[in-house]
Amino acid sequence: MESFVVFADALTCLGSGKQLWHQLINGRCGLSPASEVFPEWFKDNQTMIGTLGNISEEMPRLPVILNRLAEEIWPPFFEECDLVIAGSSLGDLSGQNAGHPDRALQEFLSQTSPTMASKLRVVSSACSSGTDVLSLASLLVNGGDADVVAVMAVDSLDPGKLAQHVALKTQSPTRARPFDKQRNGTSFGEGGAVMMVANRRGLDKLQVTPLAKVAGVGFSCDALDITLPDETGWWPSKALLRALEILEPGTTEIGYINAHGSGTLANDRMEAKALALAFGDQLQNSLISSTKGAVGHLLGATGLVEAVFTVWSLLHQEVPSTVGLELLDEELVLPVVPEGSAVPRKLLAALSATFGFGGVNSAVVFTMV
Amino acid sequence: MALIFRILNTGSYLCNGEAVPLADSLVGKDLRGDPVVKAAVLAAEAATSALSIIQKETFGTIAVSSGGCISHLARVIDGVRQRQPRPGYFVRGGPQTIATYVAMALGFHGPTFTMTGGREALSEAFRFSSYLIKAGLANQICIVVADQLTQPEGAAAIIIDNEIAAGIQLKLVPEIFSNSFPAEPLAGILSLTYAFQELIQASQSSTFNSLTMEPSAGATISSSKFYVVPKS
Repeated sequence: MESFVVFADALTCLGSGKQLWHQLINGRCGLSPASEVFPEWFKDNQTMIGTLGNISEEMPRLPVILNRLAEEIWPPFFEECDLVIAGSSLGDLSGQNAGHPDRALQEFLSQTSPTMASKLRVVSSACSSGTDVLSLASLLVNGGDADVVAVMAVDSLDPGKLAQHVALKTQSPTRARPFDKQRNGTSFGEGGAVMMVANRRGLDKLQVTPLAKVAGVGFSCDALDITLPDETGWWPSKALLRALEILEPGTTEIGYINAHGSGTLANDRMEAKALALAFGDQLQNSLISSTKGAVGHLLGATGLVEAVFTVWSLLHQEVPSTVGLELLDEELVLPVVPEGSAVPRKLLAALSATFGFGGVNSAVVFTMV
Repeated sequence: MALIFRILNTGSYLCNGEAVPLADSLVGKDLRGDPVVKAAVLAAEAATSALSIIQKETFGTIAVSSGGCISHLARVIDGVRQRQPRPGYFVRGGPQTIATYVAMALGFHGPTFTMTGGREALSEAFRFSSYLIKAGLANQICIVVADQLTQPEGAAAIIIDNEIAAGIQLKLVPEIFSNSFPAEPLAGILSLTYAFQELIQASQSSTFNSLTMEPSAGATISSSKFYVVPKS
């Protein structure tokens, strides 16, 4: 594919940019007790969440998060983009744009970058949204219909949404511990990411050096159940395989896999099977980690945030650890990096996997340029 | 650059207030109890049920909705206002899961996502379809538009692939990416659906699989910018 990453940054509970990466590679956890963040709703609940600071409990959060994206991680050449493809899930559940993050995104762009507002397209596939928008943007620039595309993903965790996940038991009563024997759910969070992808014409236009190349993308759908993943891993593995299948011949092995690794019993079990089906014996040559124990599961933004981490891993030749993983579940035969500092590793290619509600599966492969 | 697809079939469902019996294939399926999802599934089922060849493993589903599932979302938001979580509704989400429900009901395993917005979203759904098919990430795609902006709710679906050997082809000219679609995507896809059905009737053929139409190049078949082009 001729799709190059020319900008990649994320905003999470651990900050953004260099600060965020520094925290990640040092194995820091940015999660906070819900009782501190949402004292009215969760007075005595110690479940850990990955929210951004200084947003009041009752106010709509997405506009604040979008403004922080603009302040902290906005690409300097955003106005040069031919298209903006944004991903989100449900967004806020209060305020005038409740349940309509597309409207919040439209309002935000109309205020901050009016010329780009008409170029906004919004895609949603629940928690796979962030990966899917990157994949679709890469297909467009690869095909030459656009030379430079901005990709955004953003989502919020308001107390009402957290309450739903607590009721569903997808939210851990303690904290996310991906792949750990004691795991009992994920830790939801909020934030966003911005990437820009370009083809060779776009690189010439922007006069920038690419950070990495989007070498393969893959999609699949379990088509089985709205909440439970395909426990055999078969359909999720198809997304991984399709991303690997369209790699250019000669692409080296995948040195790092940024797993979905939500920390739920069902996901991690399914993901281990899917990875084994897709990679076979080669899997043991890779390093795997999940960053959800550090920053949380950022809902519709999680795929793009983790894609940013994957690109950064390639750039820095380091694999972040899996915060919360102390004792690997012996049923999961995976080469996972446990909690601690990052692991230096010679990396030429890396994959980011996302498995969303409804069994919507997505994968993207990056290679060094 | 024009996009050219073969139209395999279309289907639509417009609620007239009367109960519609479900096709046998949909009995027992989770339709979320939501009018927009139900409309989307019924339209997609109508479009696919007559097709003899469905490659479900790589069959993509792209839903487009302007307003999303208004009534369903209202239940979720009302629960939040009352501080009474309704996970049964919440888990079934908002507009983002329209495509997922269609894929689940009909067993499609290819790319699955929903686009929200107006005519631009529908235009982009066609363009994304083109690239997904070209990349081999999907062989056939169901683009289904569902909305309840105006009562009653409705949906229409079009099944496309990239085969250009025979059959009715859809050519989307560049201006389609500006303002050629009606503002509401449902109106846009309905006009395409009706145009397709007129062509089928004109052929006096009841079996689409044996239909080969070669109308004159560039013939406009509806007030929207849809054209029929001869096979190349």
